[in-house]
Amino acid sequence: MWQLRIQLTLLLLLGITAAGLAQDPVLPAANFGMANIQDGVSPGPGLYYVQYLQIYQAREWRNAHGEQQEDAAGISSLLSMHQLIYETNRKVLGGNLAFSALLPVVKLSSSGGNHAPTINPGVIGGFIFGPVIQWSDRKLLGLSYWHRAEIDLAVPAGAYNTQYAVNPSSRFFTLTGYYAFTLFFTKDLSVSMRHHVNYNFRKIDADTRAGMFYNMNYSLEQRIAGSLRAAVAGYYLRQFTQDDYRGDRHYYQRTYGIADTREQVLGIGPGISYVTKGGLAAEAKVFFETAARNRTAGVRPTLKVAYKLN
Amino acid sequence: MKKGFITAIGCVMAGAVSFGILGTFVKLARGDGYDVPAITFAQVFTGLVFLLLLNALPPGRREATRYFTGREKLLVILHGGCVGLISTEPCTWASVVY
Repeated sequence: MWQLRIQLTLLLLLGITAAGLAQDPVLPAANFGMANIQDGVSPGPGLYYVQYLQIYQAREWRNAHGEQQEDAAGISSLLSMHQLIYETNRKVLGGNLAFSALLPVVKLSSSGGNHAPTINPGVIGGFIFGPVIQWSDRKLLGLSYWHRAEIDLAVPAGAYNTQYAVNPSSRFFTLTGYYAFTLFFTKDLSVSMRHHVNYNFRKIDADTRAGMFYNMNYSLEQRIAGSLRAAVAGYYLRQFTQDDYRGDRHYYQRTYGIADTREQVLGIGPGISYVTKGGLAAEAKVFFETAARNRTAGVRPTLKVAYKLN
Repeated sequence: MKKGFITAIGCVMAGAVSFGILGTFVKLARGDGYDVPAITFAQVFTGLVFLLLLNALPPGRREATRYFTGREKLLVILHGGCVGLISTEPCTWASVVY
């Protein structure tokens, strides 16, 4: 059963979920280091297009005790996430009301010969949207403080077919609340964080449910020259509750002997960001994963490009 | 006028060569064992680095910085979207499986 689980706990970047063998559901995709550097900062009201490009390549599989598993199939994925953000001048709770919509496009690739899992050739992941409140240039302890709150709903409307072991889209709704901020210690040195709490609904046409989980992105950034910034950045994931079957959170322990179904991983790495005179903001990072539990650990290079359309 | 015309021809040629050589790089990379996600990411990253370097060049005697109108932005998005569909995203990814 353990081998089954690690094969199903595929590198999930964005809604790539295991199907068919649904005894132990995997977590849906989450924001793993897509936005880090000065994440809480907004240039102001307007319409923005943001693209995230993230590749994930697993190096190893880790079980619930953090022990490396040997004979696991390899999967890599490329996520191209397209986001539109519209920040208005309308005030809500003292901040600007905004709206966000995301469409992920995912390319999966597997290796491992005859043991390689079947991959859904579809590329569209689940649609994500929600309202945002952006507070810009406030003060916290006398320091410049930018922050944002958002509630998102991930709709499982992408490519999913039970005949494949791995799919670009999940098969259940996920409700996410997040709070992001950037605190400037000086004009050049700042820290940014983004905290997500995610609630998974029951899988459609099934009785399984992945547990509730928390994930956060972090960054400590320093201006090098002009608008060029260097950062130490990363992310952390921790699943709060056990996966359940028909509401029974001990089902997997009792039926399959899995002591702990909760997932965990920590990513850390260097990053840089740059803003052109024309207003194009680019961000590049490479994350190296460690402290994985019940999931893979690998490398996750990430690009982010943002541009104000209007 | 003549100088601008030759520059335009050079730009079109450079674009065609860049686009045409892409397939060669992809085939060689695939032969070396790189998968589609890794190749596509490297392709986009390289393009972004080149664009940022070009953007960082001093303006010299070029015309003053100008900003796109809404219609121009839409045209650029449509053009970039079509090129992106050809070279990196759903069309290529979907075709790779066949």
